[in-house]
Order: sequence, then structure tokens, then C-alpha cells
Amino acid sequence: MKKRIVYMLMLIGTMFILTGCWDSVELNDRHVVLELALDKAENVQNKIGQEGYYEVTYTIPDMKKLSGADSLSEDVKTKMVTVSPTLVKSIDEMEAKMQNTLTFSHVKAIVLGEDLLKDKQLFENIINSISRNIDFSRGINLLATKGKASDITQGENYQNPMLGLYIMKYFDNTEKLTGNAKQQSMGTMLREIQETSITTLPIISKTEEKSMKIGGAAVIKDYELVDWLSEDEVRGMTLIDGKIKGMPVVIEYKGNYLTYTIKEKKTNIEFKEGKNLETVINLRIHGEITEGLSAMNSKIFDRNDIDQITELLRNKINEKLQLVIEKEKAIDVDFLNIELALYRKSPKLWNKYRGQDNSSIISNMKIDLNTDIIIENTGIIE
Amino acid sequence: MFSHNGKISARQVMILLILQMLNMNMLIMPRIGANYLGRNSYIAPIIAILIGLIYLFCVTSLTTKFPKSTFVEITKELLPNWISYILIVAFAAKLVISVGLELRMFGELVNQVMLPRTPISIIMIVFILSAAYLVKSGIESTGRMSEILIYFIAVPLIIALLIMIFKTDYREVLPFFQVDPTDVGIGTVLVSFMFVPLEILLMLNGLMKHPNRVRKSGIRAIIVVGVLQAIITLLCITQNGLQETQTQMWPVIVLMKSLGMNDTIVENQEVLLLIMWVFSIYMYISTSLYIISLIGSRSYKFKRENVFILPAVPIILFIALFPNDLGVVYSYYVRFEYYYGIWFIIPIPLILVLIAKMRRGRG
Repeated sequence: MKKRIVYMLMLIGTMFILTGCWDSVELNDRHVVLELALDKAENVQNKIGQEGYYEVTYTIPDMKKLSGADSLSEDVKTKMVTVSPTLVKSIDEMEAKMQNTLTFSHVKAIVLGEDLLKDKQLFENIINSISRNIDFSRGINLLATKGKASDITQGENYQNPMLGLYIMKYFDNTEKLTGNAKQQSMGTMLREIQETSITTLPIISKTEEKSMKIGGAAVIKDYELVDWLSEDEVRGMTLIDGKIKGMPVVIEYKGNYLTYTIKEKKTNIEFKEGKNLETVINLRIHGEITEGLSAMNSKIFDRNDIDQITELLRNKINEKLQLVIEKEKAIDVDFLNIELALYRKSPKLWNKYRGQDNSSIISNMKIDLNTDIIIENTGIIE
Repeated sequence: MFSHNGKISARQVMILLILQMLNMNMLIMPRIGANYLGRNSYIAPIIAILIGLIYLFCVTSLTTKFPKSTFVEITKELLPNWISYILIVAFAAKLVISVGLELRMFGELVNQVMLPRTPISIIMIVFILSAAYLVKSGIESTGRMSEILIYFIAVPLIIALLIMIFKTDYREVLPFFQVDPTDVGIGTVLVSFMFVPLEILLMLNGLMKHPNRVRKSGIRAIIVVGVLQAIITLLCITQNGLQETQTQMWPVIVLMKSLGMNDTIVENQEVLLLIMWVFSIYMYISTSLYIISLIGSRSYKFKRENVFILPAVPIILFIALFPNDLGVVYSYYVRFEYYYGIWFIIPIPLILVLIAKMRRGRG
């Protein structure tokens, strides 16, 4: 009997010990950071002579208010800013000002300001810092903005007060038409920069209707901003090197606007050795005509009409492609990854044409387009 | 189902071997492969399967000649006592050091990824005591535990791999075969060290109900582990990129961090892979602890096989706590595997087979 009592006491005692552990933190004692805005701080120089500190804007959500419950907090989110030489120091300064600790394991998006993107050393250091921190997932969305990133994260957005959640839902929506912006995650960006030193980040900006727009791209080379791409240029870019789902192409046909929606595309880049290296971008596009035909009197299966529409679409799409190819040559940065495609297909040819000083080969490269348009159907009504 | 007869089935041996080979090597092999074979490092585990079969053949050539015996009895029968004791102590020492280093690496990783404020020594002590508790009841409980845990390991692993397989960019493996054949050879041999835990068959063989099935169990285990490692290496290259895989200490952890489906019930799906990995390390340490104790008890002809489990724990902990930091542990671990890994996989079993054949020839 005594033994049983001892064993029971030991068992119950063990239960008390097992309910806690060294690293346990109550969820209420943590602030879950959903988005970060990183900017270069103005007019600050640190002790080692590095120009500029980081201005890190944390948006601390009130989870109770977000879920609709009552809370002591006034607003659904609180903005807190630190100016520090490094990210870890910034986190330390933040936690000195609050009762809770910060957790970054649910960060959905990081917005990078223009000045930070233009500062190579600061940008590289912050990316290195984030990639070393095991809390940050490699799937975090990275976006760029013209101007200050904190203006974006603190801007008004009637659809979702938390920008991080807005961006997450924007990119995770599988029904959404794509083509305006090419999603970029931390892991993919690191991989691209390490492989080719070139990457792109989608641009986020405020609209007049108190919403956030994601479109266009920032071209980064060697951790430094080179130029901005417009939405049309990004559409051309995603046609060559990206995923397409439902991109509309509008043409004028017989006095009416006609919309062709691209459902899928296949790109194949071929290289030929002539006098110089020549590239042919073969693009096979499948889509359907989603509007415009009912305004015409033509029959939908008239072969002539379909051929004419196909030719107009081909010209329109080639225009977009030429636009982005000219942009690539103008800034001499291969964000379309044509050189990478050459390296993957034929490393010997790539070695042969690569300059001795490792200079780019695209600026002198002749690039031809071979676009094949397939109109799968013309909608459910004539 | 066995009734306390201290025997395990061929299926349990296969599962134990799989779990033994899915140890810390799984986390660092992609890096080793990528440093030698570059983008084509996923080929190394597939070719290494052939080398693994050679290891298996060397070990089972000895064990099939002495079906009811362990390494202790075999060496005592074939060699003079003093030589056999040297080999037995060397084997036990090799296992103790491997487990100690493995435990330290595990503790460091858990400290970095899961429990940053918990002292590493606490993590290691709790872990090894849990492992010791499992194996104190003998090989049967270990075998049954492995049969249960394999599902907890396989299911999250398959889910995680399927998520990654469908969203990764396979163009990262191009161009194909831009590697020096010498590097392919060296890289493949180094990757084949993931099959070194096959050496436990030298002891497990004597505990099998059907020792004639040991080769089949071994072949299946080698194929499963080889294919799994190839898939993991491929995903490391395609998801992380070549440079990250070559420079990161734990490229598989980085791979885990890139796994994520937002807006789902469980957002950070890397927990699936972490669960799998913790369970597999647990089985590795507990099985190795049992084998160490078995070596001792068979050497001294004790009836109970768990006599040396608790005495081995402080020795293993001492070895685990000895290195100062992660860099030193990693270097000790890799060098120990390179220099001492294959002694009990190829040369010693083959020498013993030769001696056995010579003695049978004379007799």
C-alpha cells in the first residue's frame, strides 16, 4: 500500500514537471509580427563608418481585435520604429520597449524601401541577417517600393488592415489572374542572386482608393537596385520566364476591343551559332477569347476571322516581348535569364561567348521571337 | 508476435536499419554531395546504393556463417582471446564515440532550431535517458517501438516531400554531368558512409528469429534510404540552390524552412520534418545504446543484456559535452566517420570471413 502511494506521488509529481519546459512562452506573452518595413535611416552614420542605419518599422497586430474580440488596445495594429545598425540590435531595442517578446515565425511579407535597395552594403547585410535567423521562413514574400517602405505598411487599406495578410492572400489566391507582378520569396531571391547575381522584386504601392496595388518590378543586380520595370514589361517578363495564369491581352478588331485571356504558355529558348550567337524565343500560348465577339456580326467559327485575330494577338504579344527585351538590353541586366538558359542548355557555348571579364552577352545578342497563339474557344455564347 | 524470447523479426531489423541510417547524416549529406558533384549530387546516393550493397555483403558474409552468434561470440571463436577483446572494445568504443558525437550534433541543432534557451546539456541528458528507458526492456521493445514510430516518421516525411516535389523548379539541376569523374567517385564514396550503421548487423544478427533473412532486410533498407537521400538531395539543390546547399551546415533544415503553405491550419510545415527527424535520431541513439550494452553483457556472459546501458550513459554524455562548439563537433563527426567509419563494415568482417574459411579448410 505504501509503495502504491509513493508511486502515485511520483507519477503526479512528474506530471507537474512535464507541463513546463525551459523554452515555453505563453502565446499571450508574444507579439506575432506579420510584416516588416525596412528602410535606410536618413542622415545617420554608425561607428564603423558605414553610411546609414536601418529604420525598421514593426507593425504589431492586436490578435484579439483582428479576430473581432474585445481588447484593451485602441487600434488593430500599432506601429513601432527603431533605428539600428543591425537587425538583431533592432529587435533588442524593440523588446526593451514592450512587455512581450517578438516572434517572426509568421512574418508574411517584408517591404524594402527605395533608398535601402540603392545601398548595396546595407541591402546585402540585411538579407544576410534575415537568412541567418532561423525564425524567418524562406517563403516570406519580398516586395520593393518606390519611396519609404514604412509608408506602405502604415498606409490605409480598406481590404485588410494588416498588409502582411493582404500580401499573403494576394499571392496565394489561385483564382487570381497573374502577369502584373512576379511573386518573389526570400528563398527564391537568395537562390537567384547566388546563381546569377540578378533578381526582381514586385513593387507595391498605394492607390487613391485606399488600397494597395502590386504591379511592376524592381531589378536588382549584386544587391543593388538597377531600374524599375513597368507592368507591361513585367507581363513580357512573365511570358518569357515566369508563370502565367489568366493574363488578358486586349486588341482592336473591326472597331471593337477584343480580349484574349492567356490560360497557359510554354516557353522554349533556342540558341544558334551564326556569325554571332542568336537566340530564338519560342512561345506557345493557349487561351480563349473572353469578350468582344458578340459585338460583331461575324460568325465565331469563321476561319478568316480567327486567323486575323490570331495575327493581331501575335503582334500584340510580340510587342510586349520586344518591350521587355529592349529594356533588358538598355540596362544590360539579364533579368529574363536568357544567359542562364544558355548555360543550362549548352555550358560550352556559354563559356565561349562569355567575355573574358565575365561581361554580359545579351546586349549584342540577336533575339528573335516565334510566337504561336492557339485560340481554344470563343466563349459559351456567339 | 514474440513472447519475451529476446528475438526480433526480419521486418523489425529492416526498420531498425532504416532508422539507424536516417541519422544526422541525412542533414549533412546533401552538402557533402554538392561539394563534390555540384548540381548532380542527387546521383551520388543512387550510385552509393551499390556501395552500400557491398558493405552489406561484407557484413552478412560473416554473419551468415555464424547465424546464432553476435560479433562477440564470432571473434572469440575465430581469434585468440586478447585479439578478440581488442576488436570488441574497439567496436564498442567506435559506437560510443559515434553516439556521443551524434547526440551532441542533435543537441546543437535542437538548440538552434527549436529550444534556443534550453541548455544543450539538459536536452542531451533528457534525450539519452529517454532512449535508455526504451532499451532497458530489451531488443523486443526497441523493435516494437520502431514498428510504431516508422509510421510517425514516414507519413510526415511523405507529406512534406510531396508538397516540395510539386512546387520546386527542376531547371536548377541543369546542365547535366558537368562533373569530373574523380569527383563523382570521391563524392559517392563519402555519401556511401550513410550506410555505415549497417555494422549493427554484426550484433543484431544473433538476435534475429530468422537470421537467413538478414540480407533481404538489409537490401530493402539500403534501397529505401538511398532513394530517400537522393530525393532529399535533389530537393535541396532545386529549392535552396547549389550555393546554399554547399555553404549551409544543415541544408535540409534550410529546405524545411522553405516548406510552407500560408493560410492553412498548420502554417509552418517544417514541424512535420522536424518530428520525423527527432524520432529517427531517438531510434538511432536508443538502438546504438542497446548494442553497446549487448556487447558488454555478451563479453562478460551476463544473463541480462541491459546491464551496461546506464553505465554507458555518462561516458556518452562526456564525449558529447567534450567539444567546445558546433564547429569542432562537426569537424570531429565528419573526420571520425571518414577515418573509422568503414573498419567494421569492410576490412574486419572480410578478414574474419577469411580466417573462418581457413579454419574450416584445415578442419
